[in-house]
Amino acid sequence: MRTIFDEHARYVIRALRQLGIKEADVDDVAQEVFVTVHRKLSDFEGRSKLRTWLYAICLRVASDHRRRAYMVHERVTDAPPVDTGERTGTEPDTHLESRAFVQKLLEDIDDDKRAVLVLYEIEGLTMREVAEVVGCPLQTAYSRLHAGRELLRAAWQRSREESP
Amino acid sequence: MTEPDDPPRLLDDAGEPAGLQHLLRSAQRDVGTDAEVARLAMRLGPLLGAGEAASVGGGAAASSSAAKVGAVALALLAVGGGAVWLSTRPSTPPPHVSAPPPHVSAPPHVPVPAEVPEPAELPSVVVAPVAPSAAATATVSARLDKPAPLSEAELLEQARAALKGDPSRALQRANEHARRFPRGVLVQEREVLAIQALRRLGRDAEAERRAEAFAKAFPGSAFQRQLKPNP
Repeated sequence: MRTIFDEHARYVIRALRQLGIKEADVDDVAQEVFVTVHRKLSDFEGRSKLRTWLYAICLRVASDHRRRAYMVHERVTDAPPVDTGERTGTEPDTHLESRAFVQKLLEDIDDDKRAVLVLYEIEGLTMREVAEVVGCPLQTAYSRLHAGRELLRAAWQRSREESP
Repeated sequence: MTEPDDPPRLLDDAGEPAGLQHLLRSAQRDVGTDAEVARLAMRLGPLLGAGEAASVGGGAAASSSAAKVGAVALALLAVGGGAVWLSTRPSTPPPHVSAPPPHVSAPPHVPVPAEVPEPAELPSVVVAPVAPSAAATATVSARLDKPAPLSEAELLEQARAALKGDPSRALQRANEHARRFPRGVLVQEREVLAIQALRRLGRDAEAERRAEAFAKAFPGSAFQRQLKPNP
């Protein structure tokens, strides 16, 4: 358990952010992920890579979290507040500004496509691994990646047009 | 790694906007910080292995610590088969601990029977026997006067440790968890410990009532197997 935590915790945190978990909730949701890992570790049979198994848990916990947050109309305050409109070019200046900007581009992409996009383009999984994590046929994963990319490019284009 | 049939990633595709690639590269680098990992390790506490500091530097220390993990982390509650997905939300402890209500709700609702009053206990504090400076003495005294509240995992680790030798204490710790963390992430673990403690105390009827409540609240729990009474 400790080894898994040490080797994967920082990537779990990254994945949760890119999957749409708000800054104020990242600690809580990451904790849920590792409690789930602890509970299910004895069931892990090694048929999949540990990494894909962890991402599948991240996806499920993040999805449950978003659904609960929606159901209780939870109001979440993001930290830090970043006004991406202050950008003057196409490349954000700071680390936090970049994070906020990426999340802004991803926020309008529906969960299925976003998950595939994040796992392939940011987390670096192969498409076969992505399909395994999200639990869909490989061809469906390709379709979602294609659609997700289109949405990402459109969001990027809009952001450029809106910037001064 | 990319497989032969995988499309080029946006980062590697010269046709994609440089600014978009810059953002994706930035997102790849945006892993959890040392502080975030350490904070998470603190929250998970004994689940990661008792007494081990967060190894935020990477995997080198991890492998040396791996051998220690099984006995403590997995012993907190090793489970059998079955899928468990959390449906609870972590909570923060309430500002004070009041007398136990007859029922404490958990998500889903798990009734916690009223307990007889138990002696107040504070966690033992070990202070190294070195000659402290005045400032250090003041700091230690302040800590002793007001011990930090135990985390969810720490409380349950105390319950687990006491289960065989002192099931009353184990039950007290589990019920304290129920009072302080009614919506904690370790509700299932707490209930299992409480039920096991009740059985060890010979309070079988209470144990079965609590086990039935657990079965209703967490029908798919991997802990169900563990809760079956011994034949």
